[in-house]
Amino acid sequence: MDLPGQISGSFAPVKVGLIGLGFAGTVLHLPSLLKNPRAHLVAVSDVSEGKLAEFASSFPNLDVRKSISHHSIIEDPGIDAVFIASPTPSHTSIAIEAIKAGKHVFCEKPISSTIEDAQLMVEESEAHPNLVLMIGQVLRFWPEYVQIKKIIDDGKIGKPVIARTYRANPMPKAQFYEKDELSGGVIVDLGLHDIDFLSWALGPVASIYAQGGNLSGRGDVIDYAQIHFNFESCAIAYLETNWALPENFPFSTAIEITGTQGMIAADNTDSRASYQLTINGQKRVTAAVSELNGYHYEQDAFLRAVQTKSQTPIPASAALYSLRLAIAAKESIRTGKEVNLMQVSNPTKVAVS
Amino acid sequence: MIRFGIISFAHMHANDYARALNILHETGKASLVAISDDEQSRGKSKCHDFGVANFFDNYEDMLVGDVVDAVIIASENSKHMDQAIAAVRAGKHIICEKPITVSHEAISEMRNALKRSEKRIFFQTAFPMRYDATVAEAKRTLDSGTLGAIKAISATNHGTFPGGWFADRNLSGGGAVIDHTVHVADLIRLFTEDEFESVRAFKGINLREGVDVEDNALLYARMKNSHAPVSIDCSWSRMEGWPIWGDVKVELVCEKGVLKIDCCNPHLDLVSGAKFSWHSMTEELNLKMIRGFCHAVEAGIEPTASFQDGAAAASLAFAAYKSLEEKETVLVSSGACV
Repeated sequence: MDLPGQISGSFAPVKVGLIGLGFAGTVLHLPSLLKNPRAHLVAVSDVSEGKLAEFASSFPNLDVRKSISHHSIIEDPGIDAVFIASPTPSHTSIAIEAIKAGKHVFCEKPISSTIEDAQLMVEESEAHPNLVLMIGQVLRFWPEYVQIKKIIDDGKIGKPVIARTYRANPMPKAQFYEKDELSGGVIVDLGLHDIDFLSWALGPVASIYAQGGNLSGRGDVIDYAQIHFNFESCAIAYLETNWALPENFPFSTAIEITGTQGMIAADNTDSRASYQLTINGQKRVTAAVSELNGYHYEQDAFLRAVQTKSQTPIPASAALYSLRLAIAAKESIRTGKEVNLMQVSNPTKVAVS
Repeated sequence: MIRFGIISFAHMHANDYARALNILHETGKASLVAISDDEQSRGKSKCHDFGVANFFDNYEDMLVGDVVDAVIIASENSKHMDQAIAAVRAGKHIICEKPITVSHEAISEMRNALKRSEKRIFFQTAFPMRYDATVAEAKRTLDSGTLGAIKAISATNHGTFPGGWFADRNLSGGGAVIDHTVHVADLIRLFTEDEFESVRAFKGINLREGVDVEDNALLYARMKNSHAPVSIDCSWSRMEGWPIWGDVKVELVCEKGVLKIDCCNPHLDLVSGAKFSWHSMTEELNLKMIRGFCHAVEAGIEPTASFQDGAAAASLAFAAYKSLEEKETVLVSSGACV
C-alpha cells in the first residue's frame, strides 16, 4: 500500500468540502484531511451553528469556508470532492445531489439507513462512471484486517472454515444512536464493520441467524447482537457486537479465522499495546500506536482514485450488500428465523473440499 | 480414607486423577488402590507408573467385594452408562468424566439406577472448572448483586483436536459439540442459576480431513427464565502449533456492567526446542475436585457438580445435535426424569 502523498507530486491536490462536523467528520476524517498532501480542504458545513463555532475556535488559522448548508459546498464549482460525514439518514440525498453536481463523493458508512436509499446511490453512481463514489467501510483499509485478508488470500491458513469477530463500545451519548430510524442500532452502526469485513474476506453469505435485543433499556434500538453467518463457501462465522456496556468499557475489537491449514487472530486489547500511559487521577491509556490508521489509508485511496481517474476502491454496491446483511440480521432477531440470502447464486458452485 | 479405583485410562484426564489421588494419599483423605482397563497393556503400565497393586481387565471384577469405595470413570463416553450402573449396584460412589453419557435414554437409565439404590451413592460429574479460582470469584461477584441481572452471555471452549476415540462416533457420541459444550454449559448454569430453554446449532465443513465427527460448531441458546441469549463456540479450532490446548472464556453482559473471564489465561511463555507454548499457571483443578468429592462423601452433602448438573449440561449438547439435524431451534430437555 502506498503511503499518503507518495505520488501526489504529479497531481494537483483534490479540493475537498467536508459535510458534517460530528464525530466522524472531526475525529475520524479531519486530522488526515489536513495532513494528506493529496487533499486541500476548502469548505466545511454543519447544520449546527455550535459545531461550526467549535470548529472555528479549534482551527483559528485555517483558511476554510464555513457554512450552515451543505448546498453551498455542492454548488461550489471550485470543489472537486465532498466528504459526507453527516448523520446516516441524510447520506443518500446529499450523495445524490453531489454526484448530480459532478462531485466525487466519499461517504461515511453505513451507506444509508435503508436498502432502497442505498440502491438509489448505487444507480446514481453507475450513471456517472467518471465520478468516484466510495463508501467508508474502513476495515478494508485497517492495517490488521488488510493483513488478515492478504494472509487468507495467500492461502496461508488453507480454506477458511470458522470465524469469530467481536466489536464492543458503550453506546455513544448522542440521542441519535438510541433511535433505530436514525442510527439503525448497534448492528448497522457498529457491527457493520465486521459484517463488511467478513463478506469481503469470506465471500457471499447464504443465510444469517441472529439473536439479541435491547439490553440497556436506552431507546428503541437493538444494542446487543449475536449473529451467525453461513457462507456460500460453507464457512461459518460468529459475530458479536455490543453497545449495552458501562461508560468506561474500552472500545474492544477481536477477530479470529481458522482454516484447514491454520489460524489468524488479532485483538486490540492491552496485551498487544505498544503504548501505555498511566497518570494519577486520569483514565489509563493503552493503545497499539501507529501514525497511520485505516482512516488515513481509506481517505488516501479515495483521493488517489480521484486524482488518477481510477475505479472506486469500495463501490456502493459492496456497501449495499453489507447493509443488506445487517438488515437481515435485524430481521432474524425480530422473527427468530434464519434469513436466507442465496438470491440468485447457485449453491452447487460451492466447493466442499 | 476413601479407596478409589479408576475405570479405564482411555481419557487422558485419568492420568491427572491418578496423580491427584497419589498426592491425596499423603493427606489420608483418599488413595488409588485399583485400576481396571479393557486395554490390558495400558492398564498394567499405569499400575506400574502410579504404584497401584491391583489390576483388573474387567471393571466388574474390581467392583466385587471390598476392594474400592469409589470409582472414577474415565473410559470412552459410550461406556460410561454400563460402568456407572454397575458401580451403583455394587454400592460404589462415582466421579464420572464428562459428558456423563451420550443419550437421553442413557441418562434415564443411570438416574433410575441411582434412585433404586438402597445405599446413598454420591455421584459427581467431572466439571473441575467449578473449582477454578476465576470461576469462584466470578460467582461471588455475580451473587453479590453488583452487576445486576445477567442479560446476555457469550462463551467459548475452544480446543485442539483430541484425536483417537474422540473422533469415533460410536465411542464418543459425537465430536466438538458433545466434547466441548458441557464445561461452559455447566458454568452458565452455575452463573445464571437458570436452565437452557432452547438452542439453534450450526456447523461448518470440518477443519481436518478424514475426521467423521464435527470438529467445529456454534450454538445459539436461550435461558429458560431470563430468556437471555447465549452463544457457545465449542470448536476444536485451535490448530497444530497453537500454544495451549484451548480456552474457557465467558463474557456476561449484565444490567450494571460486564464481566469477562478467561480462565486459562494465566500462563508463562515457554520455548522448548523449537516449540512455543503457554505453560499453564492455573491450579491443579482435578486435585481440588477429588478433594471436594471426598469432603462431600464424608459430610453427606451433594457433590459440587451433581449427576443432575452433568445431565443438564449433556442435554444441551443432545439438543444441539437435534438442531443440527433438523436445522431448526429445538427445546432443551431439562435432563430430568423422562
